[in-house]
Amino acid sequence: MAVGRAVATTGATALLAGPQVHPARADSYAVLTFTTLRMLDAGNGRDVRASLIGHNRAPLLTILVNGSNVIEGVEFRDVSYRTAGGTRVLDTFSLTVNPGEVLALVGASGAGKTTVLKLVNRLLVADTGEVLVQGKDTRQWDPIRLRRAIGYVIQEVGLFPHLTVGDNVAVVPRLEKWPEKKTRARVHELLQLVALPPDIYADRWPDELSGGQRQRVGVARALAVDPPVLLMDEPFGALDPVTRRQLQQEFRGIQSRVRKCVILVTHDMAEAMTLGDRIAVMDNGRVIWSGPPKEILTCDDERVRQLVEAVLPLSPSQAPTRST
Amino acid sequence: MISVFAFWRSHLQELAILTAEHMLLVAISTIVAVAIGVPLGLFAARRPRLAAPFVAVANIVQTVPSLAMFGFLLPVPVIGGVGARAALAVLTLYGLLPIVRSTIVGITGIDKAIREAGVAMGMTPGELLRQIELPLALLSIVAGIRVAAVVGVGSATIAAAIGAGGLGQYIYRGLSMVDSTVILAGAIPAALLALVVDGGLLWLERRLSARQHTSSRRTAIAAAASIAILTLFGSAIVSARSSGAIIVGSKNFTEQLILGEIVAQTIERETGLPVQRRLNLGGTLICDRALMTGDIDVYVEYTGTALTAIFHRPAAADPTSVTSTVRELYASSGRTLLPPLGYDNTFAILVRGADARARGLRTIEDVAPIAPQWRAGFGYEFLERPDGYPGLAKMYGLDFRSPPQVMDVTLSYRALASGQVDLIAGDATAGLIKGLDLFQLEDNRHYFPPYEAVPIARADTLLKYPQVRKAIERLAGRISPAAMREMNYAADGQHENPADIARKFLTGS
Repeated sequence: MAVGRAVATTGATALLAGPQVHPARADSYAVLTFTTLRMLDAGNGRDVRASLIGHNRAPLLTILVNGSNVIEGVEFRDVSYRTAGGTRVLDTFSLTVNPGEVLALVGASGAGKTTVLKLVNRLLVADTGEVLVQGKDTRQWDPIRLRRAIGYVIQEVGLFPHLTVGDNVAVVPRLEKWPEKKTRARVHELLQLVALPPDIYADRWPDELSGGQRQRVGVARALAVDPPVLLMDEPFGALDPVTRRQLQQEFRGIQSRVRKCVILVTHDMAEAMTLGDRIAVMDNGRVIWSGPPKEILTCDDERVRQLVEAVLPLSPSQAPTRST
Repeated sequence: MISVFAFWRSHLQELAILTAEHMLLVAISTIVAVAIGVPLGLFAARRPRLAAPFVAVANIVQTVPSLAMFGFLLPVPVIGGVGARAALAVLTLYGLLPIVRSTIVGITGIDKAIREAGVAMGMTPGELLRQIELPLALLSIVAGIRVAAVVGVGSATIAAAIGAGGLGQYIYRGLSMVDSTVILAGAIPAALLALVVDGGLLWLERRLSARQHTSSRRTAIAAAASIAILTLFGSAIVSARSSGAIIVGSKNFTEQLILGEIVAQTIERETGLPVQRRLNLGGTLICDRALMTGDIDVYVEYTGTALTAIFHRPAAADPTSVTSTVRELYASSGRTLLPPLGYDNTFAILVRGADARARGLRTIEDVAPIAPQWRAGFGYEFLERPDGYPGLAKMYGLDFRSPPQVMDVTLSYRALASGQVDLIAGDATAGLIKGLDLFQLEDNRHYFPPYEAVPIARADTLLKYPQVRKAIERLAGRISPAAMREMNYAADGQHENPADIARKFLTGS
C-alpha cells in the first residue's frame, strides 16, 4: 500500500474526491467513513484501498482506486529536468503535495524552485520521471484543461495591462465560457475575498493599483474558476515588509476557506514557516528535507540549518515555536 | 502662390478626382499591406531566427527607388504592367516593411511575465493572440500603419508615371511643362494629405492608448474598420466605372499629353464610347509594354523610335520603308499602326540662337570644330538609344569638353537657354524652341531616321470597336509640324492646359 497521498481528514472521516465528484468543489466533497468507502468499493467492483498514515498534525488518508491515486494532489516521481542548454536543474526530484495542504518549497535562488512549478502546469515537461496532477501524468493531460485546473500566481503578477481589474479576474471564467452573469458574480465574490471592494476596484486599471493590491488581484485571478491546485511563485516577494505580512495573514484566511492544494515557492524561510503546512527544502535539484515547520528548527542538516539561521534572528515571531 | 489658387479654381473637378484617386491608392495599398504585413509580422515574431533576415530583406526592398520598382514590376504578370494595379502592388510592397516591423516590435515587446501568465491560465495560442498579444501590440501596429500610410501618400505621387493617376499627375505635368505652378498644384495637396493622414492615425493611436474602457477602444477600432470597408467599396465602384472604356495612353512630355488628349477627345466625340486617360506614362518602353498587356488600347508613337528603341532594328533613312517595316513588326505582335498624323518629330540638335548667329552655325557638321570647348546635355533615353548620342557623335565626329550631362529632356531646354550647357537634343516640335530663341541645326548627313507620329492601337480593340479605328483615322495627316509646334508652345510657353489645347485644335480646324 502506497502511503503519503491523501485528502485532508479528521479522525476516521475522510474527505474523498473521487472521479465521480468534481474534485474542485468544497461543497461536493464526499465525507466518508471507512465503512462507506468499503461499501462504495463493493458497489462498483473497483479495487479501492485506503490507509491512514501517521502525521504530526492530523492523520492522513491515502486512497487508491485500481492502483492509482484518485486524490487531487500533485506528485513528482523521480523527475529530472535539464534546460535547453543542458544545465541540470532537477535530478530525480520527488515530492508529494496533498490536497488542502500548503507546501512551502524553499531553497537558495537557482535551486530549481520555479522549474518545479512550471512542470506542474506543463509550461515545462520532465525529461525523465513523472509529474502527476490528480493522479494523471501531465503529459497525458490536455495542457489547456490542465492549466485551467491550476491557479498560478507569480511575483511579477502578470496582470494584463489592457484589462481592468474586474476583466483580469474574469479572464479564465470567460475562457471557460461561463454565463456573463455568473462571471460577474464570481468576480464580485473574489474581489471581496481579497479585500478589494469591487465597487471601487473592479473598473480600475492595473497600473492604478499599489504593488500589494496588484498581488491581491493576481490571487483573485488565480482562484477564479476554483481550481483544485494553486501554484505561487514568490507571490509576496516584491512587496514591502508591512504589506507582505498583511497579505500573508490574508492568505492564511483565504486558504482556510478555499482549502487548495498549494505549492508556495519562496526563498524566505520566515514566510515558509508562516504559511506552510509543510516545508520542503531544495538543494541541487533535489528535496533534501521535508516536514512540518516546527521540525525544521531541530533539523541537523547543515544546509537546512543555514537557511533557518539566516532568517530566525530577524523574525522571531514568525517561528511557530522556538526550541531553546 | 496666387497662380496656384487660380489653377485650382479652374481645375476644381480634376483636382477632386485626382485627390480621390490618390487617397484610394494609399488607402487600398495600406489596407492590403496591413492584411499581409500583420500576419507576416506575427509569424516572424514567433521565429526570431526568421525575423532578422526577413526585416533585412524588407529593408532592401524599401531602398529600391520607387520608379525602379515600377520598372521591375513592368514585365510581371497580374501585378505588373501599368495602371492602378501595378501602382497598388508597389505601394503595398513599400507599406509592408513598417507594418511588419511594428508588428514584430509590438509582439516581442510584450512583457514576458504577461505572456506567461496567459499561457499558464490555459489560453490556447489563438486566445493568447486575440486577447493578449494583439491588443497589447495594437499601439505599435497602428504606429507602423501610420508610417506606411504617410510614406504611401508620398510614393503614390510617383504612381502617375505608370498612369495610375493621383496628384502626381500634376507634378509630372508641371515638370514636363516646366511650370512650377502646376507642380505646386499637385505637391501642396499631396503634402496636406500626408499631414491629414498622419494626424488622423495619430488620433486613432491616442484613442487606443487612452485610459478608456474597452467599449470606446472598440469604437475607435470600428471607425477604422468602417473606413477600410468604405474604401474598398469606393474602389470597387471606381474600378467598375472605368471598365469597358477605351484607354488612351501617352508618354510623359508635353507633346504626348496633347496628342493623348487629341486622340481621347476624338474617340469621345466620334464614337460616344467612354474613354479613360492614362497619360504621362514614364517612357517609350512603359507605353509599349502597357499596349502589349492591354493596360492601354492606343497611344501615339514615332516610327523611328518604334524601329530602333522598341524593335531594335538599325536606323534607316527612308520614311516609307521605315513606316512599312514598323507596320509589319507591330502587326506580328497584335497591334495596328494607324495612318500618320502628318508631322515628323525628329530629334532636334539645338543650340542657343545667339550662338548660331554669332558663329554662323547651320548644320551639326558646323559644331564639330568647336565641340571640344562645349558642354552637351542629353536626356537619359537619348544617351542610351541606338539612334541616339553614340552614333551621332561618331557620324559627325563630335567630341565635347566633358561627357554629356544627363538631364530631364524638358529641363534641358532651359538649361541650354540659361547657359548651363551649350548643346542639347530636343524635339523638333518643341514649343520652347521658339519660346526660348533656340536654333535647330540641320541633320545634313541624315543621321536620324524619320520620326513620323503614328497612333498605335491594339488590334483586338479595333476589331471590337471598328468605330474607334474610323475615329482615329480621321486624324490622318491633320497635324502639321507648325500646328504641333504651336500647340506645344501654348502648353510650355503660355501654360495652357493640354485638354483645352486639344479641344481648341479639334473644334477650330
